[in-house]
Amino acid sequence: MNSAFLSFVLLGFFLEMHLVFVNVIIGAAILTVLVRYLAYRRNDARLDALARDMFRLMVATDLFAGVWATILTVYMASAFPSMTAIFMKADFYPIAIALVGIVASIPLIAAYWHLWGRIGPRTHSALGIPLAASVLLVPIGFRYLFAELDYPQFIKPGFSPIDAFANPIYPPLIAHTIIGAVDIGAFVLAAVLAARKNPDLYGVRLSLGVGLALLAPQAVAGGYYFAALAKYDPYIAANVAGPLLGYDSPSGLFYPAFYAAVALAVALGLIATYAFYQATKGKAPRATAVAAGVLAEAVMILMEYVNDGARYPYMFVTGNGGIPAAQLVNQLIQMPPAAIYVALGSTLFFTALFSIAFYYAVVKRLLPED
Amino acid sequence: MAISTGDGAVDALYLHTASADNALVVSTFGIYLHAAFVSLTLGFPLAILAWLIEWYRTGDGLYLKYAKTLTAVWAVNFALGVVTGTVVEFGLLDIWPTSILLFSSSGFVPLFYEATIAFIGEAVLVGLFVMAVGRWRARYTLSILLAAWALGSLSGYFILTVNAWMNVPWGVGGIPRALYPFLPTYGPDAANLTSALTLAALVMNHTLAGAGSAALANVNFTQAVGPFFADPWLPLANPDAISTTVHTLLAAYAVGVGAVALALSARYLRTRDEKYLKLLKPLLWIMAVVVLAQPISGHFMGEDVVAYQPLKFTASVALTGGQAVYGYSFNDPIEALFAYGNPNHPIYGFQYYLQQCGALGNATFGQLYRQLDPQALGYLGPLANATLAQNCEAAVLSLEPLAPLVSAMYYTMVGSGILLAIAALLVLLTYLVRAPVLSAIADFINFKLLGRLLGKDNVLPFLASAMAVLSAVAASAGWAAREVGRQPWTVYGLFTTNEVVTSVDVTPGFAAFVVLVLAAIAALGAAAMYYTATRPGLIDKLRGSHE
Repeated sequence: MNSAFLSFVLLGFFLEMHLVFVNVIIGAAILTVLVRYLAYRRNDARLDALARDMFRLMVATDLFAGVWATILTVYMASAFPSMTAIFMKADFYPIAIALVGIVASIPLIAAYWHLWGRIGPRTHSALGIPLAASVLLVPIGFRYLFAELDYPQFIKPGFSPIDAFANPIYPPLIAHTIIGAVDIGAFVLAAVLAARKNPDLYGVRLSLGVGLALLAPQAVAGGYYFAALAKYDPYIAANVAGPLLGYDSPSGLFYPAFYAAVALAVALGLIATYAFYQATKGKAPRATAVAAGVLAEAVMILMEYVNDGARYPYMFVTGNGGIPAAQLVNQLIQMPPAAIYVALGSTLFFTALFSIAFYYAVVKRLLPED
Repeated sequence: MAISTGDGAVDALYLHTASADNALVVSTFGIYLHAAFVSLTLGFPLAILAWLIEWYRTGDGLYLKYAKTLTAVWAVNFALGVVTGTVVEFGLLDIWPTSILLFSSSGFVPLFYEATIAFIGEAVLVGLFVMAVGRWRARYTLSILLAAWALGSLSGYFILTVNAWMNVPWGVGGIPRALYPFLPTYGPDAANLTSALTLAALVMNHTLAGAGSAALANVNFTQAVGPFFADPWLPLANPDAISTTVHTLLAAYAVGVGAVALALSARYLRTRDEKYLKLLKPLLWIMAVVVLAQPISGHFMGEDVVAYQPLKFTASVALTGGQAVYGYSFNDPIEALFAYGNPNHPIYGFQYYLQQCGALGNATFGQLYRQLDPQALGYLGPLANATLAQNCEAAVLSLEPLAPLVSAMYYTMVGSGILLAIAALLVLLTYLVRAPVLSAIADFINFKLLGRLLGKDNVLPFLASAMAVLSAVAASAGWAAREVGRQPWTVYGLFTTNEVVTSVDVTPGFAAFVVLVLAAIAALGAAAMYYTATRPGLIDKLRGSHE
């Protein structure tokens, strides 16, 4: 395995780990704000309790996603210094937007939690608007970096950092990202609620319903994104769609994963529908709701693998070619394999520990006495 | 700020642009804010630990109640540390993009390990401790707390290792000395000379064109430079990393525990409730030990400055040296004794360094590159005709105007440190241990002198408050002396500040906006911590009840 490929794979691994958690945050935040508003409008205590559960899920995941963001950033700057420098130059403003989102979201989360029940429901619901906006600013800013990879504007003569906002790949990408995140958040929430000792069937039904309702728009956004890729990045589009859609795919590593993800998305739809049916009949859909949550994350992981991996061997893709990862990979040092293995071992160990703690904190709601 | 050399190309390297000055304001504010939160993150677990041990030892529920309250404050503070850390990290990359070189060379191992071992572990264990405190058996709870604290400290070591490399670039051998003859050799020769010269030429070339950091944004950058640093593990063994870590972490513990001591003292003075003094005493042990260890670690850190950052050392003693500091050399027996172990050793002034620069003769950058790295010659542009002596002199002249500021910060640190040590001894010998003669002297000062001035009951809270405030003053001033004294370089002897700043113009408006955002975080963060600290039951509410 050459160093460029290994560095590319590791970057992908750190990105995937970050996205597993960050999608839950985005989804849970948006759903919290919406459900809280509905609870206020309908004066519905059950909806209010559900919104609180969603919010708890978001808070429990928030810091850990931040940790993975740090790991991802450090590794990106280490392994691909020029690519990082290009982002910092070409996407200076989008990154600043994302940073404002990160900075603003923490006090807003604290204020939203603290003021829940202490101020009028109308004012509290209104406070959800800046909260949701701050959480959304993070992907809104950072997705410009992915758009830059797919449609590099920095190579154009006379490029100014403000031009980053005119990237044609960005609108479908961000639509696909946000709808997908809310969808994943809904299915993961349903899984958490269903896995509890005394499941909240109303909450399970509602979150599954939201998740199911968003599957179609997500498919449309996916199609829109694919159309943009086909227009501006035929290399990626060919790798994603493969021979099944008549493309001459340069690599066989990605289109099978894409079709597997589509198949899993269909399975997700069927299982979630059955879980929803069970919940409406008053039966706790523990196994099926948990399966839906796991499937939602699996679809995201596969789709992101395809989305980011299909550019290889290029990093910045321009039509049918691009700037190879090997050209951008760090050559200033020989990355010590021992350092990489120790780091991977450590992150996996602490992720396992976090998962156990998360299970007891969010699913079991507390830890046993001893 | 700095004095112009008259050579436009050299000035472009050393005279700060307005953008660089604005960026410095943003980064200084951000780093201090992050350091404040991180100091609390490192100090609070020690206070919690002290109270939990007292609780397990005495069974007094007061200690558990306050340990739980402080745990909630710690959790809020940790979240704020993460936010400000993210801002600082991205600020570093976004505003100082040449710092990406650190991530991809000498700083790789420490920064990667900081994220993948220390930070992730600390985050998970802080969360686990919040759930466990008061619920799990003592051995589990204390183990988690100690592990979280140790990982937090390890995180500090990794980050400070990178900062230490910027101050003492261990492993670049004699490369800086070739350009600045007064600098020493920095450890073994792990840096490839040709790559270092190419790297310098590329960055200088772009600095002359507007911003050195733009060099990294070229897709051929790493290929053009090639293998630069042969031993990525070496920075972990940087002697300055060890002394800086010990000194800075002790300072952070003092500031963190001191903040709790200050809060308890203020409460006692307001309410006269003895429970606050009871809670204060275990913390004073930590404060006293940490504070009294500081001069030793500080001395080793000072030795590193003398050995590896001679210009900074001269700037540091500008206030005692007076005008002589701008001459060739002068005598200062006390500083010379601490610095060289010999009170008669001369302390060199700026003129000495300028004279050393003169030893480079009329050699130009062009001649140097023609001899050692002809392939990079083309990158030099107008700098090819600048002499190495001019470049060296510009570096010396850049620090001269800042010397009084560096010195003021240095002596503020030393003065605060001396007062801090006196306060620690007075607390230790009167309130914590009894030692023949020494405790009698401390009692006399505390009860006969301070007691008469302040009231006998107020002496202990006064001393605790003084230790807290002086710790913060010493830490802030010491860090300022360290960082301002690093000028004109960002990486000592290798990269100047202008070579590191972003190519995007950092306007006063942008800087003001970021500072306002950071100030808002500081204000809201402080309010959130105060709110949490004044609501003892909050942690149980947060954790929920039994199902």
